[in-house]
Amino acid sequence: MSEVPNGSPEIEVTNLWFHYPNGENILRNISLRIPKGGFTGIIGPNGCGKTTLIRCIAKSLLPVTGDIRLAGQNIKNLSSREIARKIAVVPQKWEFIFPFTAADLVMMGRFPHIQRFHGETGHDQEVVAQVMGYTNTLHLRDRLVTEMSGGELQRVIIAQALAQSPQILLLDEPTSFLDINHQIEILEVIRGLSQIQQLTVITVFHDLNLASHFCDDLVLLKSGSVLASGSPGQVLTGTNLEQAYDVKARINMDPLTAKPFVRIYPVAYSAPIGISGLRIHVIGGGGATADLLEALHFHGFQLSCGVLNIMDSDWMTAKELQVKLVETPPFGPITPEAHQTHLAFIKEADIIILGNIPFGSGNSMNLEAALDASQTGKPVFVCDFTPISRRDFTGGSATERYARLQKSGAIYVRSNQELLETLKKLKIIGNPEG
Amino acid sequence: MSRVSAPRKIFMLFILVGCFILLLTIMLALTAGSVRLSLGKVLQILTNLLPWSNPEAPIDAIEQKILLDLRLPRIILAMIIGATLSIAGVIFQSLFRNPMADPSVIGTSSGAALGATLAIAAGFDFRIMNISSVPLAAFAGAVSVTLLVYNLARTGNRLPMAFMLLAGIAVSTFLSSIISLIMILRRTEMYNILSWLMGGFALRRWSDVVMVLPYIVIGILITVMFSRELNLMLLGEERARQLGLNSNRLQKIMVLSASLLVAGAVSISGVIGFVGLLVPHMARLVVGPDHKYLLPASALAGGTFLLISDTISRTVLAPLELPVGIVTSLCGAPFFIYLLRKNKRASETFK
Repeated sequence: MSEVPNGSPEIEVTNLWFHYPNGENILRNISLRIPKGGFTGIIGPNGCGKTTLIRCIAKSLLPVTGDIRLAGQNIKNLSSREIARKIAVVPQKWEFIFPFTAADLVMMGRFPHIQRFHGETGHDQEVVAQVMGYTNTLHLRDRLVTEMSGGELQRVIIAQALAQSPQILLLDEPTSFLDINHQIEILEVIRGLSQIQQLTVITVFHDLNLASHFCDDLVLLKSGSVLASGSPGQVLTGTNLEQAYDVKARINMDPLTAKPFVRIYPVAYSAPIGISGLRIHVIGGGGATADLLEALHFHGFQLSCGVLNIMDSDWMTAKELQVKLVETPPFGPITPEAHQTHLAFIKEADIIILGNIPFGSGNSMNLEAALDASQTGKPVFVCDFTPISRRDFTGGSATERYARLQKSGAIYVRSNQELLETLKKLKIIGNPEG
Repeated sequence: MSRVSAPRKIFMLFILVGCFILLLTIMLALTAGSVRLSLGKVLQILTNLLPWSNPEAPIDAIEQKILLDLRLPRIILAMIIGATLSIAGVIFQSLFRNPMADPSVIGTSSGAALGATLAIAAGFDFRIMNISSVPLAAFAGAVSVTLLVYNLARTGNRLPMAFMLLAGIAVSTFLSSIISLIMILRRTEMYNILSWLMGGFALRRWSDVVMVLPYIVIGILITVMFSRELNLMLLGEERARQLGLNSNRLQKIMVLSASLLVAGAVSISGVIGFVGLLVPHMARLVVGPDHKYLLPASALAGGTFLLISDTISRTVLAPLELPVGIVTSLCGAPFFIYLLRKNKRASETFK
């Protein structure tokens, strides 16, 4: 977590342990420092303790050991009224609802500020109108909360929390019932408040990309411990996500926001089918083999790749996946040195895959290399997804070589799925004992 | 289903109509009975009480005694106790967030019943400050059983509501068995015990009004003072705490004040079923869940309901008098079921 230049952090959690009586530990030795005005996201798989952590900070649960301090004050020593003036919570689930009007429900958020014998003041009314404006619920004012949609109700509950005029807002998956446009809208409002009013926000996120987009800092929990914390870029890494969620993930930088963007691969997609030691060489280019490279990589094959123009999208994918590759300068023909290295790579590989790539004068050498390999008896798989006539920009020589490739015994496949299926069968042939 | 767009307006209308019906009922109750009095006579006797009045016609001393010493205290008691049981019902339903909660759930009623049964069975018949032994024993029973259940449910500094509900039901069932046992062992007193258990206002006097009034006034004042807190409790205990409510303290205050209300009521009237369950539900259907409106509306409706029931109980088979508990259940249960079937919101009120 980033440090506040002056003074103590807004929320400081020190060596927090929590378990229910006779239960297993739910939170294990959590320590966090959350700066004032920051927007912090808590992420992690189900059951990792996200909600429990939120409830501990709100003093809805009392930690077994460890301390939670708000601006230096231990919450142990604060009454629920004092805490409610500092911290507002937006719970994940709303168990049941009596037919109050939305305005009544939001006014309940003013409870910690209302004196028993004075009742609601004009100021309370103003705050209620203001927060209902923020959450776009003013028009629902007289509607019964029992007759609202999940999204409307969620916004009313957020309004109730904001009506507490808190310094800290804790949200437990606040957008779970909202449409995507309302999700963004609400999170924008909350981020705006955090910036304008120095409101400190801690939100449990299910969606990693929403978390990445909105948060200054992220805390990744796993089995009740902090696995990683810091900026989205520091926390959202393939290694962290694999450890936390047991999935393969690919992280790109979003070009617009410069925030990490996460893609998760389905389990079936990433289950290893690669034969140990089987080396596959992919001839790619022009973005035609990026998906294939990913799939082969996550299936556990040992890969090499070539010849790719530097900065081409296949090249970027191969670099991200740390695949061994042969490169050549952008927008130019394949250099003779690159071609030589390429031939050496092909020689080392057990299987060659020729991507569904367009051929022009710049990369016709790649087709030549594939033809060579096939004629020397290497198994070559040809991704023939688009008819060659539409990918031939060489004036016919590519089409002619393509025909020779087929004659030489190369195997033509119609889709990446078909290719992967075929490779799976190879496993049995190539490895009869296993 | 019409939308409650202005709860306040509906509340005002409810109070207005309710007061009108109550007034009519009071008039009816004053005239009706084994001795019929005309409305003119009733008004004459009543106005005669005013210090500046100038009696035009002579007033029958017996009729005056029937009206002022028998009917009037009885009418006032029926209203007070109806209001009290209803308010206690509201408290318990909100506190436990359970639609089945009523003043009998935490054992207060059965405590009172046991106290009264013991006093009758043992043949205690004495008066302290002109109050007979049976209500005193009932009050003592109500308070001590409530404290017992309270302490059974209390764990450390907390008062878990679910546990309190279960402890109350268990203790009530236990006490009911003891009462049945006593009735079997003391068959000679069975009729007296049974008619007390079924509740009623026969032979209640001004002294009973005086005895019960303090508890009830204090209990109602405390409850109304906490109406905002009771609203928060409807959101669930954790949410109420997150909004700044010391829910633990509120639960204790409310359980004690509701017990005070119920103990006061049952010690005078015996156990009257269904009022505390039916009236809050009915009032909630009309004025909504906000206690600011629900408490006064329930008090008014409960007072009216019990007065109507009592008037029926003493007139329908006159001169025989039915226990009022029979009337409340006979009228109340079908009406309650009708309301539930007719109004879907009633069942949705507690999800």
